[in-house]
Amino acid sequence: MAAASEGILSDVRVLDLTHAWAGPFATQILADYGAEVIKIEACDRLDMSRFSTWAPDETRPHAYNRGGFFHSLSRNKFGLTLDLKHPQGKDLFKRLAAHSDVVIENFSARVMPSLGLDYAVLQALNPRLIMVSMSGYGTVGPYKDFVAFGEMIEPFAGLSELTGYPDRGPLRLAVAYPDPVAGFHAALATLLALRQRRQTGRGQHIQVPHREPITRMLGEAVLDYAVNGRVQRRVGNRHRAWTPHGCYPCRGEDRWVALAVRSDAEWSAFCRVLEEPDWTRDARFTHGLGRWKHAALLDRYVADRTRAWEAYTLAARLRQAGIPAGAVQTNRDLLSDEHLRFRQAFWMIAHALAGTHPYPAPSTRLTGTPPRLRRPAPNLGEHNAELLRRLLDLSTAELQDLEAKGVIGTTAR
Amino acid sequence: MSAQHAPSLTLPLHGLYVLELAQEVAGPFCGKLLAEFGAEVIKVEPPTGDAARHRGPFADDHPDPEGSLLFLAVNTGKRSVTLQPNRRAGLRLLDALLHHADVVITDAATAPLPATSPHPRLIHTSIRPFGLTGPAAEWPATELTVEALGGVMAVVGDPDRAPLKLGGEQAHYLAGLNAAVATLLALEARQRTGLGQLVEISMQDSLLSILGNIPILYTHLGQVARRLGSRHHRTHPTAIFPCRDGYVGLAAQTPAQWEALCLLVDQPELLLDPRFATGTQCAAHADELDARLLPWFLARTSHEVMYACQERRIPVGLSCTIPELLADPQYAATHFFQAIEHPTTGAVPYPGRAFQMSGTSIPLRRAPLLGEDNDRIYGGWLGLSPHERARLRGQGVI
Repeated sequence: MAAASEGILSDVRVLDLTHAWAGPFATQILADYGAEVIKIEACDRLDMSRFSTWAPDETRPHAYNRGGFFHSLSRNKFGLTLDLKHPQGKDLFKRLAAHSDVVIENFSARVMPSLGLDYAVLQALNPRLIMVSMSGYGTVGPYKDFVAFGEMIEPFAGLSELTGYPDRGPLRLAVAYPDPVAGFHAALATLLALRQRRQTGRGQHIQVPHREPITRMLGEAVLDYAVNGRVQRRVGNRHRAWTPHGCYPCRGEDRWVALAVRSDAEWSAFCRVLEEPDWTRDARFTHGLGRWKHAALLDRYVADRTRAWEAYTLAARLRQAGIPAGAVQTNRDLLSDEHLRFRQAFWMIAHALAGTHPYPAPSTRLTGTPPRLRRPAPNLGEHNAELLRRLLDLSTAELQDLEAKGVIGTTAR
Repeated sequence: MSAQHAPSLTLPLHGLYVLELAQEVAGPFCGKLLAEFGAEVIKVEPPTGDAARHRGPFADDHPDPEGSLLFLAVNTGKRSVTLQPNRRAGLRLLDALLHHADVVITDAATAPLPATSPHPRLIHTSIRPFGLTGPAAEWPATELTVEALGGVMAVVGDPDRAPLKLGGEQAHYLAGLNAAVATLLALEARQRTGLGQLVEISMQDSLLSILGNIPILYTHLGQVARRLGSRHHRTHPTAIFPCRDGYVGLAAQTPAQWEALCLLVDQPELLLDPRFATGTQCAAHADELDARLLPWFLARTSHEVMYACQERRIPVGLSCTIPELLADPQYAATHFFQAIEHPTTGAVPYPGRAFQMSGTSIPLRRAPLLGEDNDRIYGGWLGLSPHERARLRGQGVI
């Protein structure tokens, strides 16, 4: 029985070939719960998350060990470099796979086979091995060789046609939302395969596509078309039944409050909070249907009124009256959000090169066996010697030989 | 296990019993995911049904608790029993159901469970807008206000217009997805410790976890991230571009993709322009760059643009409408949509499982009718006689 302090997945070893965001997000969940996640990079092909939040003037040595986003995604993981194109690198990877539970990768579909490391090869070495591939579109179909980046998957999966102002083109979240969604699914696939392995004694290869998970989260829009022939489009912040429902300007620069009035009783309470200006007595607004029909006019009245309020104050007064409301919070606001602070939603992580910063803590929360911070993100190849000695029994001379040949290393090329 | 036991005949969660006391979207989406991979998920609905049964759109726009398209979409593969939790007899029934369950899913609208867990192996997955603890735990909330407080709306929309929520109910779906992963982790924990536990999912936390480098832009670079239309804060051209007949999403981020794009649009001089030397510099001069790129896009259909770009390994995809998704050749080739028959709608296509694994050739089942499984569960599981069931029905408990 695993000691809770080691983490519930401490008996699971994961070879993590993933890069960018979707794959590292999946392995982060496993690592936070104690899995031994070995992050594998090549010295001439670093994970691009290392570069995504560099300062424009970043020129320091080993800057690739400092990137904030990399540190956010790679805590609790071990760092190994391995040139998989080199015969010795390939051989070491196979030997590691023989001793591992899971391989996760998010290369294009053709990369692992072209390296000679497809599942059939690895499974022959270790029938219990689970492999999760996040290749974008899977292995069949007319798009199977298409390139997938999360930022274009959001419109490709249908979400952007439903996101935006009615009078303007489709929009998207400023970050690649499909990446963490695929990451959650890859973690789910891994956990399901571990469970199935207890029943069958065998591992399996699972393809987790990038686009399907988002299309599944469009809810009733698919059925509304399939059953009723109705094509749902962008409606801004409007709700199909509730009015007012939206985001209104407040005092200060780019300050906004989001609020939802869900019933006639909430409407009366809403009018009282706004101190009942004349238009609140307009008979067109008394009932939900009237407010919905005259939503554009009502939105203008409400916005004129909210401009005088400070966003957090107005949101608090509305919630006291039972009305869902909240200030639109920027990244800066999130860091000082009292509720998030109470819930320790950020982990303070110290690293010799990256400094000490708050990073979002695991949102996947188990209270009995909680996730723990065990170590900050690894420097490039930080655990080469330790891992290869412990897992493959390599000698110092062998390690030096690998380093000399560039199969492993601690400096980018 | 012998070779004859072909693993494709069972799903990984076969034999797992889940009680779903949650309504609308988040908890039911968690239950749906567990059902898709083999769990026996029993929705415990109040006699009036899950609130989603009363939300439109309805099949043929005819309000009917068996015709809510949201309900049908998020409750595939489950059973339904009805139970009046405000009555003592109802609470006793709930307690008996909990004794049989491995997992119970609750949300902010669920009546409090018994203070002591009915058995030590029970996993309780709670999904609420702000979680169970903290000063905001009891705040009223909707999809819109959680997206505002969770940091999403600040980075959706045009710079000179109001912040926007994402389409649909992403905070709810995301929390349900997160809860399914957490529930699987709790099952792994139970495998090792023998004990169940409380799983605590907050929609706001879930949104924070998908913001990627947005929090990092502030903690490391001091940058307050604001709305940028369809653009990216750190790199360009990554945006949604208009074409002659629609839109495409473009993400040219690597040097190879940028070079391929400049050559494709026949503007190799862009590669020499210092304003566009890196993705970050392109982002700083995005309007100037778009002015150079847009004519090429506007002169072509979205399909022409997608195929031309993908041939050169530039990540581009259509901005798909729902009809386009249903006719999508890739989804057709992978049989993503599956026809599911329901008494109200007949057979219509639903999005299928997100991924395939051993056992997923087992077809998906439709959402249950209200109380459809009362006899099967109360009779078969709990062993109540037809007489007892009739009495409970008469009392309005089931």
